[in-house]
Amino acid sequence: MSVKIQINCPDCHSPIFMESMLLLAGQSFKCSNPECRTAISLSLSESEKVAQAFNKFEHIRENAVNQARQVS
Amino acid sequence: MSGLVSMAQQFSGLPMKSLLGAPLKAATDANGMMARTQTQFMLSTCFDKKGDDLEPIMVSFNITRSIVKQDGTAATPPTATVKFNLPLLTLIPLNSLAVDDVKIHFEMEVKSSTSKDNESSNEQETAAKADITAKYNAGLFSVEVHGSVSHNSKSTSSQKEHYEASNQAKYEVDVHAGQLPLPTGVTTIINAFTKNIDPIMLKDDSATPPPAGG
Repeated sequence: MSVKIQINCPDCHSPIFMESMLLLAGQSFKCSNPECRTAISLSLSESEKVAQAFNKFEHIRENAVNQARQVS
Repeated sequence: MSGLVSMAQQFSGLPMKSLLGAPLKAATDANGMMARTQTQFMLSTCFDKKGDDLEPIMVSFNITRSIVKQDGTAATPPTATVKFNLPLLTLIPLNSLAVDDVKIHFEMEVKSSTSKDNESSNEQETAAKADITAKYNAGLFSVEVHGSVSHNSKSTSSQKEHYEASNQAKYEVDVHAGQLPLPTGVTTIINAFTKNIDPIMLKDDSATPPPAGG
């Protein structure tokens, strides 16, 4: 499952919206400010590290949903 | 009215404490468990433990900027790519996952009705029948009497009593897990990182970034 991420542009501090799956696939994301032409992408060497973090996060999110189901 | 069920009695026997308290306690327990899990996740995944200190794990990004000449035309090459490091913590949408809504629907209906029907009918039919014939002759006169008498009696009585009671109970617990605002401490850390997302220029691949905070 893809996770939506938002970080601030290093240049103009406008938000840059990203999606985890696309980020891990190497896609670059443009700044939401149309006048700022900055684009960022994840270094290929880092994708495994970030993928592991997202997988762990997804795991705890599933656990949270299961916990909620057990309550009801 | 003695046949009617006392409404107050019906409701006073309900275990309201457990009906309402149990789901709320379960939600609180679940939230506590989730909070602990997320904290452990944040500390173990997003930080490196070095001695007594925790250092944020940094992730390298490429940032591509356009290069424009003074006259507004694109330069050659038109873009420049540099690397910058970002804390992994800022990439994870760590909004606290928790049970944020618990709805308890409890519906109880007590129906009690009693009715007493008395039906009494007394039907009396009297019919007497007797045939009497008498004849009297006196010279020129003759008298003849005919009579008829009959008797019949009938009596009916009925009594109906009707009592109806029904209890209906419905108990529903709706739980929704959503995202709660992050604790202030975590927000402060992430804000500090986010506000300091400035590219760290690397001269070449062998270059090392300046120390954190520098």
